[in-house]
Amino acid sequence: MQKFALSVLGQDRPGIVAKVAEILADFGCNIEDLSQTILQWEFAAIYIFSKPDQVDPEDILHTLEQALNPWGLTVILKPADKPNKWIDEPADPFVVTAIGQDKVGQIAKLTGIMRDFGCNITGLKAINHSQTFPDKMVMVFEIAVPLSTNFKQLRDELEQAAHSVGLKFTIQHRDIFENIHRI
Amino acid sequence: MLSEREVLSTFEMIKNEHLDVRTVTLGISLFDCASDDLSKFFDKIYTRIVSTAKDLVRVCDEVGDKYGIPVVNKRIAISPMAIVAAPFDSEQMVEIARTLDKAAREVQIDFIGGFSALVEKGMATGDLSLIEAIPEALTQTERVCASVNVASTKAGINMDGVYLMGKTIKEAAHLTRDRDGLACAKLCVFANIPQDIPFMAGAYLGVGEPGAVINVGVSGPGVVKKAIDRTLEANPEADLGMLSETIKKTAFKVTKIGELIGREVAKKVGVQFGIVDLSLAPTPNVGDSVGEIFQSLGLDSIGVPGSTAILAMLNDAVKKGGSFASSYVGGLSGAFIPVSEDLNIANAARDGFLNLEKLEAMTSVCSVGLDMVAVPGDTSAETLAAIIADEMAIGVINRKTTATRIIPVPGKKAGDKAYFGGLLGEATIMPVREGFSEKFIRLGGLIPAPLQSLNN
Repeated sequence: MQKFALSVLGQDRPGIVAKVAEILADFGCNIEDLSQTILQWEFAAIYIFSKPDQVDPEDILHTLEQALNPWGLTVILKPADKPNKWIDEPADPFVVTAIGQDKVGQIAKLTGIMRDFGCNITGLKAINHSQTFPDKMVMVFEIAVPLSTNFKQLRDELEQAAHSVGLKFTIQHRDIFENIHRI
Repeated sequence: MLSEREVLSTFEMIKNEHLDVRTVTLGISLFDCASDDLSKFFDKIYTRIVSTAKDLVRVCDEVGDKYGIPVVNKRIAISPMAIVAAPFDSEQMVEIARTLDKAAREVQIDFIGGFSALVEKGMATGDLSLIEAIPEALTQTERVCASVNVASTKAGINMDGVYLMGKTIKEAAHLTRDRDGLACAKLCVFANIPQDIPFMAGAYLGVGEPGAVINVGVSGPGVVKKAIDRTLEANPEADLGMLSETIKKTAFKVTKIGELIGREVAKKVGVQFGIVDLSLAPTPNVGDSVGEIFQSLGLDSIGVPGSTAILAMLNDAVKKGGSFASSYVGGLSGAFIPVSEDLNIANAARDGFLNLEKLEAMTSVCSVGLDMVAVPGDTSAETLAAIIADEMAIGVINRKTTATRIIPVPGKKAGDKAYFGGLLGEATIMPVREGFSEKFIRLGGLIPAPLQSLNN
């Protein structure tokens, strides 16, 4: 069994996930991980699935495209990679929250610093017009901070950068959210 | 992925609602430092405190940074000095207080508590020496806090101790007359003092406690107020049952944070974790007030009719939420109503909504007592003792902790302002019915333990 990564992107409508799942099942493929989201009206999904050895991935791609292209969806299929050194590095999960008026370059500024410190972004949501802050941009980054990081320096640089682009900012270990909100 | 709501509500609590860990207090037992040689005793207690607490401030800051929740105060509580230093006289006790102050400065903590005596049933030599030393000790030191337990449900009220504390408070105020009697702001008189309070000025480490232990005091009146406001905004029909539920849930969250941070600090400092004291402890900052909660719940001001009922509900909801969040809740755990330390309560006293009698009534359902109350400088030791006795009676009969931290402000009268500075704030001096209690106080003796004590 070989693992593949599949991504589907395009305008949202009912039935996309069902269609992809049916096609993969018909080929005897097992979906191992699936994440799907909608931003405004654009649908995006990424699947990791394993396929029987005798099935040609070109056949899967062709079938998916035939079904999904008419709906305005783009399909990308590639063999899934093995974990690299960034994924394996021991790290602590932190959550960065940044809130303020929407401006060009905010995400670039913050993520540039995260990159410079070797932090891997494991989850990111940037939401305009959230319920809590209807007139502001809200960014929530989940990042893996390598254990060797000088945390104070990372925090200070992120904070300075956030302020320079008009954002209020916090960085907190993920455990705090689990503790406060979950029993 | 965490939900947006979870992340943003935490962001709001920290950025706009003054959520913090109010104090991480390291309890240090000094019993094995006992000696009748004063210089040896100094060396032993200084070394013990400094070596145990040397990393406390750094670790608290690191852990606070990690979770994005500031640990505002780092403090130390020690074994009751009246027992540890029992062989010494009052002058030597003052020297001991200076040593404690020096150790506190060395490890950069803001207060050290435990210059304390437990005299609910009677006074031993060490207790007398310590109490006699309190006025000088609190005048000559900056960071030392003192407490004296003069009553308990099991023992009754030691009225000789109460009278002695009335005189001690007068003397402490006199010695710091140039600072509005500041020494009295570092002195609490208790009934049923808990052994593990992390909050000052009452913190000390009781005799049944470990050698070293981290106790955490969490706060968050601003968070509670905002939670109530949000509930009412979302549902204008919300009744007190629903609002009590909101307070309970908020207290749960705040307590969880305290325990998480306390346990990590304890691990890194290498000592046992003790308890979380979930108390709504205000500061003189706008938006960090217990008094404002009363306004959110519909009263024009704390102190008007309805205040005791609200405080009872608030105290109870806080305890319920806290006890569900942690199995190790201790200390005072409830709502504080310190007059000078809460801008809103101080204003209520200034504007005449809150007087001493109403405050006393409210202490029957709050978690501490008459706290940071400024009274006229000419209030006699006997009247102060009578006020203390009333407060002790409330604690003894209701099987709860009560305390007084009362400041007769030298040279000032009712309606004047007293300034204590920093977190201690400022307060309008409340009028007192003076000169009617002397005969009662001079009777002395022990008021016997109440029927409530016979529960075996």
